Amino acid sequence: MTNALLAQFIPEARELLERAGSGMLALEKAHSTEALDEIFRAVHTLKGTSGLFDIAPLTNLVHAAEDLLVEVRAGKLTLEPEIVDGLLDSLDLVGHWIDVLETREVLPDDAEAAMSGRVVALRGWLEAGGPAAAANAADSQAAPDWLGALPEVERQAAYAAGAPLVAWSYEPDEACFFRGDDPAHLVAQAPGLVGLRVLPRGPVPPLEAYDPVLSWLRFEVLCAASAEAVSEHLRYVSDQVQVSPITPEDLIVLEGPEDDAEVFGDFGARARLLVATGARAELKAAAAGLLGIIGPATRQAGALRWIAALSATAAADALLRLVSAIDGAAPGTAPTGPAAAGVTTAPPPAAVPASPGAETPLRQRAEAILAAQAEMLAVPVDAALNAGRLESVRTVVRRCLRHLAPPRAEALSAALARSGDAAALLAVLRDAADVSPAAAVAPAPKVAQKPAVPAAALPAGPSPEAAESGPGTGPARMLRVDQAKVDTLMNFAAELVVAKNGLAYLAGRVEQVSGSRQLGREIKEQYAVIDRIAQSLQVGVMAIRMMPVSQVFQRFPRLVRDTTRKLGKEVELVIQGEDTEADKNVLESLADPLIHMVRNALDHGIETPADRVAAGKPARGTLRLSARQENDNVIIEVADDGKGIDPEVVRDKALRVGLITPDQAAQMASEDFVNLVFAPGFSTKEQVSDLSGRGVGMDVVRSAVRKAGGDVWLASRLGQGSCVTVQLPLTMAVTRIVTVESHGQQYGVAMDAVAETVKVPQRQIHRIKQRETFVLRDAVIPLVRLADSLGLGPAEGAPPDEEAVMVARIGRERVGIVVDGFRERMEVIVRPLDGLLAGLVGFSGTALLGDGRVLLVLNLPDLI
Amino acid sequence: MARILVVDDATTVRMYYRDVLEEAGFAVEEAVNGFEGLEKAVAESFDLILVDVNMPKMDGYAFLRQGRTMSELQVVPAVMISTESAAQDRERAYAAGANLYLVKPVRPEVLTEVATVMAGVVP
Repeated sequence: MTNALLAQFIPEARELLERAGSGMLALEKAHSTEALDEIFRAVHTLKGTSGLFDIAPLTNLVHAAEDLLVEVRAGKLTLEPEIVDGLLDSLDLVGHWIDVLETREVLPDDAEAAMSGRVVALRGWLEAGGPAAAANAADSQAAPDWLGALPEVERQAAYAAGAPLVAWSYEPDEACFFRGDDPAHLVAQAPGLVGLRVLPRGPVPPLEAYDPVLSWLRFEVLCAASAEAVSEHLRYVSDQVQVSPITPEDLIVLEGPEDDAEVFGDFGARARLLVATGARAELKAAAAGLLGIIGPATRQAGALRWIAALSATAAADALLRLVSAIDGAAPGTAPTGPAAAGVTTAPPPAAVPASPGAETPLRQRAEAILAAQAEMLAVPVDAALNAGRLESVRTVVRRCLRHLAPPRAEALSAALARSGDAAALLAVLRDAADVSPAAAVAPAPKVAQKPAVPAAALPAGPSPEAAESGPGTGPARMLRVDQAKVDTLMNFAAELVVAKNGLAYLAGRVEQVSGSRQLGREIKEQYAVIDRIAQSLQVGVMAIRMMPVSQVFQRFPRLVRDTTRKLGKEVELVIQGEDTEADKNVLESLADPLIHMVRNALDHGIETPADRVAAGKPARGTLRLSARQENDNVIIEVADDGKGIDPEVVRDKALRVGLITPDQAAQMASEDFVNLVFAPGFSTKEQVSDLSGRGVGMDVVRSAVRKAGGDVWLASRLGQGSCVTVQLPLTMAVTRIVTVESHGQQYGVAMDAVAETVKVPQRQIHRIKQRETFVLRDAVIPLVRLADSLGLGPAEGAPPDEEAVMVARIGRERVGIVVDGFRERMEVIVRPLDGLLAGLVGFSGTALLGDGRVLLVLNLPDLI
Repeated sequence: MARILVVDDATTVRMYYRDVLEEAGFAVEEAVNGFEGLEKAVAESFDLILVDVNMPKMDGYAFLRQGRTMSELQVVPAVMISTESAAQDRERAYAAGANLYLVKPVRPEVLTEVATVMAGVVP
């Protein structure tokens, strides 16, 4: 059960973290109660749900965050940026733990330590908010395990003193005496000292090895003071102490053997009623009475002493927990789970043999639920709810009766029939609790023992029809599928799309070999049908993998916030088109380049507020992240209104580092210069910044994007800003290509890259300086010969009258590529080159054709 | 088969209740907030309702108070399951009309026993 539940928990936790995180960012911009509620609810739900798993550090950390939010919601604490930082940092850590949980199903080993550091920080802000808050936060920290070793009297005194409480241990450095430290004095002077134990820090060495001037001491101390006061007192020995804020509840540590005598009788039921009705003096008397007849060293005796000591002062729930610690039955009146803060008890003996005529778990449960009904009726209620509540209590009591011992059930049933109003009903229930011999509660065998529930024999309540209650009007039903499964399906779909090409080839062969046009046509018709189905299948599977760009964009509000804070800049992030969808793999390939581009824009693009104002711009810069779909591509733009890129500076630098020759520079337009920033090793900022420097330049961005079959280019206006545009294919699975021929070899070119194909007469080809160009409509387009680019050598024979030219889009530019001719268009799966060929520049991979040949697919941006 | 309505906004929590209760032979229906809970509780009948405290749109208190004024719902026992263990939280739950107050996480055997007793299953 746990694993499936954990698998459910992980995505839900991520979603909650995401909601809390983005809510926090929204809140920082403008205060909004809705956003705060949203954050609180997300964190609260996360805390509650995490309790289902054995991940206490996570629960505790989220609990501390929740406590902080409670104060913020109550208006007792303002969300300063530092507090937001602290909360976000904690949520990040939780996010990391969720990742670890997903792979290892347990938290990392250092989780406990990492948690306590964060909790102390979060609690620090709470304490500024008031002592009550401090107490709240404190209970989210684990109390030290030595607490129970302190004398009970001292713990009770501390309990009476109330929050704030601090437990700390101190192991003075061996050589402390040589430095003039006086550990005993330090401890004796501690603020609010209420409990103390001094012991050797470990086994004392044999006499011959014992050095009397070294310290072997360990102090375990309990102070009724704030953690701040204690830490301040211990500031010179902070490396030798461990300070843990604790709650009064932590002090109730019950130890000792279990007393399995039956003397406790109905004490539990009685005590609960006494607590519910506020009869504290009677409670104390009852506890004292029992104490007189049981062994003082048992666990129950400890609980009774606590009850007696606290009966006048403690909150009802604390007392109820103590009562539960005595009879082991907790339902309805006490926390039932391990995560509930409260009484720490030594685990009860696994299986206490049930005494003759003992209670079944269900009978105990029913008694406890009855007690809860009495407690409930004692709580005042609106008149409007009174009738309904009474009805529900009657229902519950009737149902409980079935589980009680027959004589008791009959008596209660008769009394129930006579009781008209709430007061009468309450009286019946109170009497029942007082005279419940059958309610004798032995320490409950909590373990296992599932009650037998005969599913068939249930004459249940008002249930006219069952079963057929379909999903009905519920929300769209979602299915979580392992990505590998979808990928496998995707591969098969893609293989099918390619394999069907074999049919077209076969049709041609049939016509050639057997001369049967009829058969050829039939095969082609069949091909058309399979083609359509294969296309639909592919589109369908692709749709499964399509994800909104928001998956990638959602991290940016946080990144922009953190980065600008670090840089001392003010930036407004505008996100557009986040609903645009693209293939999951494509989006994943986009994630890192995008982070780099955004950091660049913040670091190098947008100026400091002072510079901006001096330049006549608003102090707050704008960074725009947008996504849209164009044909089979996703277009992502990162635009800023910063200082832009100076083409002159770029040109000079490019010349200096030898990226271009002066001749080339003369031919380039100023827009071309700025795109040189994508060249390997280029960086316009001399000094390496902490954020986007580190030697990784825009060339990495470009190679990542090109690897995914896309391209990237930059436009910039000096003083007005820059815009980086990334173009990526919607999907990387199937590529539509056109085959071209050069020197008798065939190559594939992705259709996306081809703008058009034209025939250009020789006389229209002009030479400008070293380059051939031609005019297409009214634009001058440079010409490149594919044979030259591939190093195939000059063509044999006279050049044709007309050249076949493929006009390709490379970034924003168009380039004419001269080939020997065009062949068919088709869909293929491009497989990346691997092995020895992996480093080959200019090819995006190979494709298997329908007739078994292998085609090299060109990567034009790299090649030209 | 006794029918139980589970009202909680956390999917994992609902799944947990469903796992445990179905294993014990109950039919389980889910609602993600008080509002949806009321809709379902009016449309179909249930033998027991488990309700969370903090939920969007309509929280557990409002759900219970509303339910106790409706003839279809006032006889149905309700258990409020919260993360808070303080006495005042329990009193708030009782004042809203809960018949029992449990603190998360509820152990499977406790959940099964409570459901068995309160949904009216004969042992």
